Amino acid sequence: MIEIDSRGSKCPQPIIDLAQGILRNPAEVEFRLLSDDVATWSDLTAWSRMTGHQVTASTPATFLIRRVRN
Amino acid sequence: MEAAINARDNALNAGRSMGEEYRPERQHPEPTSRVLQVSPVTTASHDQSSSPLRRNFQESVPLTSKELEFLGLAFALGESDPRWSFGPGAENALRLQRSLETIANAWGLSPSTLTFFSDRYLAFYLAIHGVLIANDFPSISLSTIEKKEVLAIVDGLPDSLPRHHYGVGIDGIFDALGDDRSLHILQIRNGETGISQPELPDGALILDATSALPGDLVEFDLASRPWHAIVLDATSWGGPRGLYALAINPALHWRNPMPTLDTLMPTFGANYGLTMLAALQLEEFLGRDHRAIALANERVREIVSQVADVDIAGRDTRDRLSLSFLYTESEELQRSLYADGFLFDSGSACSSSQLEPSHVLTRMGLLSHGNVRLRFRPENLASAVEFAHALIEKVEAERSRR
Repeated sequence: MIEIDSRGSKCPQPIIDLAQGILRNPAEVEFRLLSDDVATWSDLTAWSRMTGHQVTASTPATFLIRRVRN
Repeated sequence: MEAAINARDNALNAGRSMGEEYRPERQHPEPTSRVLQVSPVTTASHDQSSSPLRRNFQESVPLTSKELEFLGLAFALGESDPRWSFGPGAENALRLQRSLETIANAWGLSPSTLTFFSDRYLAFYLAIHGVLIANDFPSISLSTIEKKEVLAIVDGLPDSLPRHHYGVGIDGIFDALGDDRSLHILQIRNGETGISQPELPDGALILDATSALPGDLVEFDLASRPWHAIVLDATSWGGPRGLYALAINPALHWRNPMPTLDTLMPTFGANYGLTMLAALQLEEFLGRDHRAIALANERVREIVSQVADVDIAGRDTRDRLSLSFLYTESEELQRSLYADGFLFDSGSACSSSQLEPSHVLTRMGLLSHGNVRLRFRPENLASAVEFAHALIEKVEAERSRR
């Protein structure tokens, strides 16, 4: 699992960091995003729908994301 | 305003009292407005090619010069109490009645059911509490994207009254409509996305039509439905901010929850001049080419769909359009398009004035960053395609910088 630390960044940076992390690791399926931005959860929900990913677990500042399709 | 004051002075110099109608030497064609049949001003003309609104896609826009003139005259001729614009008297009572009829007719309502307020919270409070104290409902059903005032009022109700919050799908299909015995509080059209409620539940209704368009209610055949109260907002038809109407169904039970002598209907709580202005603007709204507006909306959708990763809310959203672009910052898009003269709103958190994203976008599962919110009106239609191309250019430029 790849961890992407975006704590301290405001939207849309955590989603950009996540997308770039996924792009750099094409073989990886699971990612952990660390973000304390209030908009990250809602952005992740829409981003997952649009890009073929799934948020499998979340706490207020940690999100587990799984690649569903390439 | 100066012109209005001069007009008042001329009237007074001619020996007329404030209660009498003032008829200046007419320099314009006869007014076509029914509301202003007895007024010295004409309806606002909208020269689209030179309008300052030509590149403005914001929800709220400045008043036209004619509208300002109307308001100036209203206040100049009013009494010290600004609610009594144009002064009291039979002539104004007639103007007000015509305004009420204009607004009520456009919404398929009876004028006698309507009362106006300057406070949206008060209108919703009276609607919800007035229905609840006069009826016995086992629960309340409402959607998660209701107005914050509605959510706050319902939050303040006793815990013994169960609430069902139903979600909203991305295409605007409310995913459940609650228990038929429930009191349903329903938004007819969402103001941020333009998405409309496609069907109504069979149960009792309080309808939030504050972002609806005239015609939306008519489609639901209200006469055959148990609606208790409806709240309107003049901004939904391009009217002034700060004017709300509450319609109460006289055939069903409602009781004024406020400590007042008038237990049946709340008293008129809005400015008369604003109400007349709202009726004027409604006449203008009804006269718009709504098909041209829908076509412009569709054309912008087609153009922005050419870029990757765009989240477009709903389908038939009439004169509103909400777009969100992945990996972009709406504040940056606003800034760069403002340099080209374009103005629009955003529901994103990524702007300095907001700490949290729009609760509507969040709860609908729509992307909350890079959000661009547009409202189409006759003055900006000719710029819509140009705007769409400029927008995708800025989106691609911003993405390439990251």
